Amino acid sequence: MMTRCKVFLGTYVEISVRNQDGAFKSLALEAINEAFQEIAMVDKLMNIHQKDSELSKINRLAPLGITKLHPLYSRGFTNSE
Amino acid sequence: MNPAQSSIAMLIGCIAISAPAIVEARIYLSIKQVKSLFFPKEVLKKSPIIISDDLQKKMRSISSVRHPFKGDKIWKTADGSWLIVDEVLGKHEMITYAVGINSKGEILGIEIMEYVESYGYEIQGDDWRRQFIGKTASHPIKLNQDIQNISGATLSAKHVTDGVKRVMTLYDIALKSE
Repeated sequence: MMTRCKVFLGTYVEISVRNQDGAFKSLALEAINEAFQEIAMVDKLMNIHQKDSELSKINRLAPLGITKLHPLYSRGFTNSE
Repeated sequence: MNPAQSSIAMLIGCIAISAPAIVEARIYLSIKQVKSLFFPKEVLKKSPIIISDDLQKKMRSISSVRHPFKGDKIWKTADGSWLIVDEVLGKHEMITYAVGINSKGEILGIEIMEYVESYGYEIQGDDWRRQFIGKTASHPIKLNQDIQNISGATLSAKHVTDGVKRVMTLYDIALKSE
């Protein structure tokens, strides 16, 4: 199993890939990197600890009127219902 | 129950009585692995530097990381890229991380190499308990409503962010011109 850890969303994000006997190392690494890229996108949009994230912008602009959200938000809302 | 099981049960019993803190150590990457991750083809030359008091002070004031920087785990490639391994205090234990910087001074990546953290101190802390003072039955007293969920991970993740800031300060002041 290959496990890596990075800081995202103001916490530690750990991703593991099960590769039996350590086989397909580069493939496992590639999969982990792709998954981290997705999380990096979520981090850019929804990290409340980051002043320039879209979520922080929404929070700043909310009192001023209607703000358009990234489609990922509606997916998030649907999934969390 | 075999002897191993009973000793584990004893251990758990002891932990439960003395302190509700659990130490968890996770090793993600060795120095060798982090080298090949950031610089798979390049030759890395160990380039430790002595951190003067002045530099230490500057790094501290810019990053607000109080724990002194050691300067012994620094490597350089022929084209002027750098690999720096540093550690910062998490909430109670140290966290080792690596920063890769390319020849243009841009961060190539940040990797957590080792994470040793203890859980359970959060609720022992005065700050957390103080939230309850003055509450009455009419208050919700619910986590994430009027009681903040203090996550140790969230706090220590901030320390890593500060740590990266100090590594970049080191680069800017001492490494860039080398």
